[in-house]
Amino acid sequence: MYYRPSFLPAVRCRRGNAVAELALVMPVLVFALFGVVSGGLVFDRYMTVVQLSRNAASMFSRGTNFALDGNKDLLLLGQELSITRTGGEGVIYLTRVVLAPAGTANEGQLVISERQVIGNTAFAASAIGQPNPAIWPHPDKPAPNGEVKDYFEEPSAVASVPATLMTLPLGESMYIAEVYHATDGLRFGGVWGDTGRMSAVAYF
Amino acid sequence: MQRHRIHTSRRGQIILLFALFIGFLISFSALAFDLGYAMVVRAQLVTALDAATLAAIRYAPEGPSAMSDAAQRTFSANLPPGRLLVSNSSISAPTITPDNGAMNVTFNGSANIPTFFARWFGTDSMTISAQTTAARRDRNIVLVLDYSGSVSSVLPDIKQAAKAFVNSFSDQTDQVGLVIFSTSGRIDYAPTKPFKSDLNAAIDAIGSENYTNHAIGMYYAYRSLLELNDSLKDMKMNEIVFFTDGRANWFPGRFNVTLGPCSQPVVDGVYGIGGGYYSRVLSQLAPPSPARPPVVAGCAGWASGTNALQSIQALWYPPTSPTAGEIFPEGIALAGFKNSAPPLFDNNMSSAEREQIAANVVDNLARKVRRDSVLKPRIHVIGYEGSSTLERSVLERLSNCGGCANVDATDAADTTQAKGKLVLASNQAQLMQAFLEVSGFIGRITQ
Repeated sequence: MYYRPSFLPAVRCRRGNAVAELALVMPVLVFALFGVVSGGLVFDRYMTVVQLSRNAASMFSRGTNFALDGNKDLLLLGQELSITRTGGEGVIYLTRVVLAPAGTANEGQLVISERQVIGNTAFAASAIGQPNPAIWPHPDKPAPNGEVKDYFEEPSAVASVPATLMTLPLGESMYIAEVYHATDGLRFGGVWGDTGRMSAVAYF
Repeated sequence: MQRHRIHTSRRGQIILLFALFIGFLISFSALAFDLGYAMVVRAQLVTALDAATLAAIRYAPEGPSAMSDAAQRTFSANLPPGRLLVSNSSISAPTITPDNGAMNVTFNGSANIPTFFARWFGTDSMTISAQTTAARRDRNIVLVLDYSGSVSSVLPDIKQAAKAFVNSFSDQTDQVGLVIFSTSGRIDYAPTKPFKSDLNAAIDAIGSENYTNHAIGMYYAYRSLLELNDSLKDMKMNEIVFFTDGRANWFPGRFNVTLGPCSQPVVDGVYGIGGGYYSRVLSQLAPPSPARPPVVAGCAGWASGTNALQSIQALWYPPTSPTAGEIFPEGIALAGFKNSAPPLFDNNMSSAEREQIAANVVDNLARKVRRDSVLKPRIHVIGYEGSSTLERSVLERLSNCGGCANVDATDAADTTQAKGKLVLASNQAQLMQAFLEVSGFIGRITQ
């Protein structure tokens, strides 16, 4: 890069100088580059997760039955995440929530009337709650189904959802999609939630 | 010496360069990180707006302030303050614009986010905004209610559920009508708007009587859609919601009668297949409106035990009265019999066989109705199982719901025809839920 006249012997030690300076600067440079690249990857992954939650909740609210494998595949089509019908480094919980009317055991509370799961259930539990196996999937309905039995009466059907949703009117349903996925170790602070995973939730 | 000074200046060259470029580096970090973060927040904002717009559309029947409330509730559930470090997230009031048989509903949303790098350059926060629009097609809906004798014990519940059903649509944009049937049927309230107060009164006035004739109910439902004076009806959603509590045991028909005083080439009528007799009763039971077909001389009816029907032939063509040829000019046959040679129809035919004929008639009629390529009617069925066992397969065919587990068109029994919803109520307490499930389903369709 620079021309060194051969009659200047002192230059030899200056070459070492440059290397040492580079060595000083390199960590900062590498850190900045790594930060930009990994930050970009995390953002990209997180946007995929958010979009997946939106698509899932939107389809679910329009009546798509995710108990059927074909519909699971349709949702997963084209996403770059590792989620499959029953495995992968992530999971999608689809929950339909209604208000329990007066005179029922769960009166005044939001309850889970339907639950569908796509992906690896061991990866994360639903934050909304999990109806116990005696009432979900509905034992009296033909399989596969995601319906919950006696959701107005069973304690395990009670949903844990944000207080802003508690004004849901009687007879109205809220369709919720939760998506959990591994971050592959790329995280910044507490922004993406729990260690090693990111999540997004959509309420339709 | 001058040369030497130049060499001295080369000492610390990399650090100097780095110091010069650090500004650019941070700027690019700012772009990459802050804009990436902004895009993530925008994705969540769009989710919140999409959900809010759909929620608002479901509340369209209750007016703009109810739409705003629903949108606000859904929006803040999806993007509460603090989520993704967002502050001041807000959603506008809906902008509603009518558009050829539909209404377009638009919301604007915005949220503030902090910046991480750009703040070093004096930008502490950014405002993210987005807009979503969804269209709600206006609805033309005909509610078909079974008021046969068997519903009498639950009639108050049915009326209550039916009123909740019709009240869940909009007086401003939707037209809702009522058809009732028992042995015969009629258009009780032609679809119109505003409909709420008159239609609620009409529902309250229903009393129960007689037998069950599905096909006549389906026929009048379709007829009321056809007669609807609405130049945009082909752009709207045309829905028939069919409630019944049992199997059909009567059906409308057209017969050739060639016996004694009743010798007539064609006789339109309503035919019963219960109680061990057949009877032509349309003349007696049809309401004065829209028009009562003339009584055929000498054929006022047949009594039990006679063999007057032994030469009745070929059924069933859709009723052409009161205006012949108006709806089905080609006269499509909607039912056939297992025996081709006379007697086609005799008193030894079992109730089950007679119910199959009635089911066959209404099934074929429903398929015929759905084949209308202009109105593209969809048929939804609500079944009440409290008074007698329902024939589920018939109701599945009426709604064309296939397995009925989901709304995918590919799962329909006949994929070339529109798919409806089937909801069964197994007791009185589930009636309200069943009606609201169908109204909710119709309310959620936004395309």
